[in-house]
Amino acid sequence: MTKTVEITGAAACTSRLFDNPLEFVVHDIVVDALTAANTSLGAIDMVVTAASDIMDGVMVATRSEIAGACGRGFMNVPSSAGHALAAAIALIESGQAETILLVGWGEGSKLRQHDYRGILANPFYDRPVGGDPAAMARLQAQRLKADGHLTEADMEQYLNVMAQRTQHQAPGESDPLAWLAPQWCDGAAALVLRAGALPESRGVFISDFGVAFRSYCPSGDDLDPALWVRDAFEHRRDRQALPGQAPVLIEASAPAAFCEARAVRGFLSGQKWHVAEAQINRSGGGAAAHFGPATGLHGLARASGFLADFEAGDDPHCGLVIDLAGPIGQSVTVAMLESRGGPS
Amino acid sequence: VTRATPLGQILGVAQLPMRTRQPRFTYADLLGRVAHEALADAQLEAKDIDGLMIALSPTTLLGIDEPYYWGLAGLPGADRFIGRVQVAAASGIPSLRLACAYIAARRAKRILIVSADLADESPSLGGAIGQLQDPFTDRQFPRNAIVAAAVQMSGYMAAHGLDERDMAHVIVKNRANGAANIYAQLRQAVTLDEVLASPPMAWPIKRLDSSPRTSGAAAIVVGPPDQETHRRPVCATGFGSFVSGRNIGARMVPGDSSYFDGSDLAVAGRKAYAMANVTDPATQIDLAEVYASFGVIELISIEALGLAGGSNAARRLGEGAFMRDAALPVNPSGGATCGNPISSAGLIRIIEAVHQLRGDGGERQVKRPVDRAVVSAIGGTFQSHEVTVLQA
Repeated sequence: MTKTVEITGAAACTSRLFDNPLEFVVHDIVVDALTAANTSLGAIDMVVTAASDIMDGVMVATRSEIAGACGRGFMNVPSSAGHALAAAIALIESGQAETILLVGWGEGSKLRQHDYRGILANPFYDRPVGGDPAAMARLQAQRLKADGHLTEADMEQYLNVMAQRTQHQAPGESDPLAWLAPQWCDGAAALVLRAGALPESRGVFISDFGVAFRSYCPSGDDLDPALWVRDAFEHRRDRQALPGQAPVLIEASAPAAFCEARAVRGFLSGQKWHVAEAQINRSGGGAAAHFGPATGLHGLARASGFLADFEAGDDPHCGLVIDLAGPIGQSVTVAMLESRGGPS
Repeated sequence: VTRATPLGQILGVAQLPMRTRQPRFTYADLLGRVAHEALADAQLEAKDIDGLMIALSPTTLLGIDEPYYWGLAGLPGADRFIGRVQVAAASGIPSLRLACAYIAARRAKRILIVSADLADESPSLGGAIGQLQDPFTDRQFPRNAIVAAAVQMSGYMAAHGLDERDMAHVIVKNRANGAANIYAQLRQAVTLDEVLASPPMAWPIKRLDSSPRTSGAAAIVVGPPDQETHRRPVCATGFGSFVSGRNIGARMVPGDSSYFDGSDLAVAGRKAYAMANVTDPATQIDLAEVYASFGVIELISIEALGLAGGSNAARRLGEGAFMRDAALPVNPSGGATCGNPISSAGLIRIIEAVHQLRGDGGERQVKRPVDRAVVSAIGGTFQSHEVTVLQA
């Protein structure tokens, strides 16, 4: 018998450039999440982090200390926010932990001047011909455009809308192709997850998740992130149990605006639900404020907050969090959130 | 011992012979080879795998960069990659833990965990490990893994009234064990005098007290505890994790003795033992595989895991304890001082314990029956501690 997982507290922030050192920002976010959960670090069994080697340049021992893991169990799952979330859920569902602090961060501002993600590319086939993530993203966008899935004007507008929601500076006319690349920023997010009791609690739960993955150079026609999201959604554990109603909101994160927009729109086009445009990426999404593989935790934190505050009386309502990490967003996690009728 | 609830079964294992260099293999080659050998060992096919994980320590140590976007293509379960686990050299144990959690939560049926290192291609192993140290309290003097171990070893010697000869026994034991391990990188037995005469690196650490720089790979397949297998089944029954986290300089304060007595590892051990219903490890554990990149770390680990029954491990070892034919063998594989591919180090300790529990360890199989084993690993410079109990 597996347990349900409740989000009892969350906090997140992004900034074009953190004013304070990273460890202080993460500390404050962790404290905010614990406060929101009405708990303390002493009540945490295990800390799970999503902290990338290439994003922060510090070793895992330092990461564990930054996240508050000293004196607790620890697991670092840096490949994506979705992977770290899935790990935390599995640990709770299996009974190996009761309460988990999930923390992620990244100093993406460093990559604004020099995007060194080229080290993610295959050193044998891709790097020798310049196949770095930026080139792969252009190839992906070109393919999606040729297939009629996007237009440049639409993507430019999408990114501008999202940038306004993030309250970061919009790329504007200075870079008309900004929708092809991550809009780098600094960011951090923390969530408190615990084994929940669904019938009694009125909080926000993670009811299910699914994952999908494609290698760096997907073969054939498989460059469409919407297909990857569908694949992840179909591989939920309880995939027979479709949501009782349409999601009231979606928070998505991808390394570029076109990838994010296509992933959400293409996925929704295959569903029977209608989700209002205003409820898709209310936070601005992950492409317009991107801080690396942990970015999706920002969307998760914001989604849980939106759901908790949602005006829906006593009716349960659900939301989707879609995380596309990796150079072209090929590491996909879809998490389903469920709220039991507003703030508990 | 009250029988513990099995959390996940290790269905198949594979490792490659450890070598200083692996010039015939790319990183992806290493992963592919161990992945398919582990599947063959489990008598499974690629279609049976519905989750893939990589245990991967800091990539700067490995001569490769974030390889999961290109090194996993074509591996069994690659379309269900569920993440990289990175707790430095300890990564193998939390990977197993996470695989067991996925399976217990019915989110996967069989998970393949792979790992590999090409350490010889790293431009600066010492420089990378130097990142472990605090830039303010530690890096101001020549701090690296060897100096850190030297501080630990000199403190341990002073606390227990031991000399370098006492400390050399553990290396002699491991190298003798490694001579029988076909996967070991260092397969020559050494004498006490040879250890003592080896070139000093940072007193009291000498070259033979230290693990070599190693390239290698390992993989395991994890499945449900009740899956039928063609051999003696081995299950994980307990896990413990504990982080000290603080850098060494910040731990040299009154009241914090964990760097010298392993009290943090002891916490992780107690968690694992509690889950596995082990109440007296010195009598209830039949074998231990502990990750120790230096001899002193093995001695501290033996004590912290309660395997020395409250006695000093170095003295017990000098009396013949923990040898391959002893009541409680420790590192009958030779341990990390006979080969240390850092990302794979934790998985290799698990694999060696599995062979002993199955009874198919070949020349390195211990003579006494093995029903329960403890495996430990340490990430960073004694900063993250991971323990698992395996039971046949």
